[in-house]
Amino acid sequence: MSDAPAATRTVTVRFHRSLYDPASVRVAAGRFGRFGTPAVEERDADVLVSFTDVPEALAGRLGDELGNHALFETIVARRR
Amino acid sequence: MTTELEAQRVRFVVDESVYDLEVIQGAAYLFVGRCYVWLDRPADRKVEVVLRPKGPADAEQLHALAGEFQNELLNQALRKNVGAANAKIREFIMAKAFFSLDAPSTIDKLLAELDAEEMGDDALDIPIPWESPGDGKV
Repeated sequence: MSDAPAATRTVTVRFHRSLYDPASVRVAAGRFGRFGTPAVEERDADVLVSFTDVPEALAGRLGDELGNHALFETIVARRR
Repeated sequence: MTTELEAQRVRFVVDESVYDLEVIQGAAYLFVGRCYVWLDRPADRKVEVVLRPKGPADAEQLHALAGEFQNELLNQALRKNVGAANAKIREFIMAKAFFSLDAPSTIDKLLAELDAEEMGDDALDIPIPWESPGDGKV
């Protein structure tokens, strides 16, 4: 049995500001905080979300799930 | 609209001069339950839509998915246009329902009932001593 720490990865997702509301992206990123350490950077044209320490097994799916949540939050915020 | 198939995903570009962003997002909203939906902007007034089904899908299913999304764009655009065209009628009906002068309000009805009761006979038939005909004896 190995005592080596579980492999982790960094997941980075980019959201175009004209399509995704930055505040909604932040809300969505916060929801996934228990799967990694999120950092949100708002740039001129886009919002960059990086998750560090994401377990290898979740890395592939985390970005896709975050994308759906960010889109959903954006649409709901726009309809309010 | 050109549709490109990739491994387990389909992508196409929507022209915002044909379908505005509200319409594109309205269609996307209906697909987040069964797909991972990504929107990107490859150029000004263009929105790239990427759909990745949550389960396995072959090329035919991916093509069908893209077609379904594109039909939903039409549907959302139509709903938006009908909604805009009927906005004045909806406002008129709501205003009529809330502020109509033809139909008395509930409060007016209750006040009228109260007035009618006060003006009418006593339903309980309780004798009023000072009005009963008698011989004048106390």
